[in-house]
Amino acid sequence: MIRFILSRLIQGIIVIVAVLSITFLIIRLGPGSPFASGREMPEYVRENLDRIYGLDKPIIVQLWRNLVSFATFDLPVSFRLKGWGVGEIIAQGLPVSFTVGGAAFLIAILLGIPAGALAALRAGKFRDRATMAAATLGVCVPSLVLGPVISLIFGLKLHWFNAAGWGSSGDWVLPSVTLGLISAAAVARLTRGGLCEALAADHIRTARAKGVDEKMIVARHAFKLACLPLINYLGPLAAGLLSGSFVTETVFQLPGLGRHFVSSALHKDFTLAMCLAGLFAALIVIFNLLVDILQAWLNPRIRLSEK
Amino acid sequence: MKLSPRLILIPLLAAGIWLFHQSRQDRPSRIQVADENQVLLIGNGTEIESLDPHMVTGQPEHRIISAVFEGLVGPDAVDPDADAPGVAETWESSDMQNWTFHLRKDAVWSDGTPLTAQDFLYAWQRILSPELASQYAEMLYLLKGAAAFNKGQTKDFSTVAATAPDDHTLQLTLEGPAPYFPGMLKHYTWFPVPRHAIEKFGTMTQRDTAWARPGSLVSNGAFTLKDWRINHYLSVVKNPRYWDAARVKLQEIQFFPIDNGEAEERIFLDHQLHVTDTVPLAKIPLYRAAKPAFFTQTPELSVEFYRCNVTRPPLDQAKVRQALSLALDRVALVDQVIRSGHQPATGYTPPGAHPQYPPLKKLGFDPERARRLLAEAGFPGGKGFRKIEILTNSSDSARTVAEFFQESWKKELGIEVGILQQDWQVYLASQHSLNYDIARAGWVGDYTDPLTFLDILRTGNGNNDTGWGKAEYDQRLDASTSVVDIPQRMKILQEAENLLLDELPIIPVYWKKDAILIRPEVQGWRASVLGHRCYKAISLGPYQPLAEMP
Repeated sequence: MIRFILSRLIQGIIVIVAVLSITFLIIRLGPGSPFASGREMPEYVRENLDRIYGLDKPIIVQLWRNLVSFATFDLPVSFRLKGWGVGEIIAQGLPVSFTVGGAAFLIAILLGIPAGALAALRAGKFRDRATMAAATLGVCVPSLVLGPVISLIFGLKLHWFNAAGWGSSGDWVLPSVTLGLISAAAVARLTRGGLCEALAADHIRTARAKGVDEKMIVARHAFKLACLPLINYLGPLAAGLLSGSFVTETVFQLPGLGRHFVSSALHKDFTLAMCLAGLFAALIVIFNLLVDILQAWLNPRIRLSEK
Repeated sequence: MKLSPRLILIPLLAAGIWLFHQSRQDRPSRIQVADENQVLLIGNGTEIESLDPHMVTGQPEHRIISAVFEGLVGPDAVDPDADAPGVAETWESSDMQNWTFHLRKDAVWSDGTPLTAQDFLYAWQRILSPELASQYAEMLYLLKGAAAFNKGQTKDFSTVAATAPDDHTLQLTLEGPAPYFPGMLKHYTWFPVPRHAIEKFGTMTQRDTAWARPGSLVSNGAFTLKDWRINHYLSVVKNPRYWDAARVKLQEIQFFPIDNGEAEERIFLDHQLHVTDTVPLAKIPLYRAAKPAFFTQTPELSVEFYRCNVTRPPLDQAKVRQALSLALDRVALVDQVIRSGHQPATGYTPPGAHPQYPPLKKLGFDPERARRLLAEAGFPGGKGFRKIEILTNSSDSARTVAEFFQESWKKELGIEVGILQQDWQVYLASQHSLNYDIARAGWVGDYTDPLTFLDILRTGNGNNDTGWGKAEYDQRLDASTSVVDIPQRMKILQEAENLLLDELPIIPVYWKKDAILIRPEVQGWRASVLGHRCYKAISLGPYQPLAEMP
């Protein structure tokens, strides 16, 4: 078990270094400069800037310097937000994204799993059809549409919460609900699929034939099996929700990480973009590891050492 | 009778929702709290890059930096484009080339350190130092010797014609007479910076130090920096040490970096902002029709135009460019497509650049003549004209305008046009490397004089980006900088603009208007074509509800 975790952590580090390098190369080798603005600067100013930031060095040297600064946690400064270290920028956005994303994750699980389970237990009946129709709709509606609608109804019309913004105590609710509802739809569909399949399995039939109580069958035996595909999905979902959503943060004007993801790439602010991509990769690695451990615990047939 | 649990649950749930709904209705809005405390809440567009006046180039930065810093000259309370005393109490010049500024003796930095003429010299040396690599140092090139120092041709700052005979006097010599010079000093590139505070964090020319951050920024404006959370808000509070503090009525200003027009409008209607930065383009026609009291539109000193890459045939022929311009019905574009109240351009320099410089009336819609010119250039009916591409940034509104061009040129001239959209930084790089046929662009004036627009089309200017250059044009601009007589100077500049409009390396499209939403409580807010704001003249009246949209 410990050997498994260690080897996965080493793999994770390789993944993070690869993500940092690819992010750097894509941005640096693409057209555009981190210093470009609507007003052109004289050529000698550009040369000075390139020299100050080492951008006149060969691209491999630049990449190495950046990787070293990340590896030693001596984080570089942002090119766009001058005078701010990328670590400070992320430290400001992270709590916001974790709050909104964490709440959205809970909403997705607490709403999605019961809805999917209820649908599976009434497979083919009206309740199943209605739940799955709602879930399909939820999967299809983009947050770009759902966010403003939720903001208009519960913010501008009913005045339950602020229509957008950050700072008051309830400001996390509407964005979390927007993100949570969309993810809940996917969770519900996966739960239903897993549970339907599990309920048809041989050992469940055997248990039923032995006269085991139906509630016991679902809760103890079928659900464990049904969780496996769902848990696989929850790992990346958690990483995605916690690292912020560009659309939801724009619609609700939240100071989270999601907006930095897009603006750092657009402004060629490659130090900030690398830091964000590295953080996202780290979250994915961690949650995938947790998923593997959880699955081994739920299903003894999976033996970690054999993977 | 046995009560089903559902019969109990549903009314309970409904009652719960109703109670919750009631409890949320009495929350005071952010605006009500802010009104009571004289806190102005402003939408400020994209997040600013820095508060260091030498490290930035944008408008959102200008609006915050001019609240926390003050130059020699400040915006006037009634007309912010006019000049009022700032750190300088008075100034004079007999020939518009040699200027003397008399600084007020009670001017201090926000930490109590006296503010002297030396602070200005330090600031100008800093922004002009090649080691700092300030992207906006060109704004100071009017100062004699500034360009040579900035380009590293000399290391001796005393070659720049700015001296301080004593702590409260500054003497400046310009490259030529410039009657608009005091107005230019309202721009942040000319503001003083505190040597004692900067050098606590590094050397004079060190970039990316923390001196301009909350807790360490020392400034000299009507307000001082209190807090700055990235992408969240930036707040400035009244500076009790400011020389004119008695006139400052606002206790605090909070700037919100809202980069999405729809979200900003929703936040405004939700009573969280006094003034917005923009109005969503799609909503402007609706507001223009409904005319609610909180919607206003004012001209800005800004022109939207399309660059032609004159190094690429067939756009190297002036007749082709004229034909393209004549085939555009700018009135139809503005009134029926954009519908945002902009003014169709009949020249290049927008109205308001100078009281004695009326906009030229040279551009118009004449498809007949356009076809004739295109035939003369060798492309009758568009035959033999290669497919050209319009480059724009990746916004929907830019695409809409480009599509109008595409259709007009196809219909009137019979030529094929494609549209290429690129992300902002890439789009800028493509223009600068002349890697385009026709590109959408715009220019915002830095000071009220036609030169701020005409200058960028000089041969080889960093913002020219068309490949065009004409010695006659450059000579006219040079001549204008040595003439003191205003009518004569305006005449020379007009000749230059006429030359430009004959050759059309750029095709002007419209002169912009600025649209904002502003609450009725805000008093003393005045429009400015340059985006100047006199914050000390602004105050908040008692709370008023917003008028309903009809």
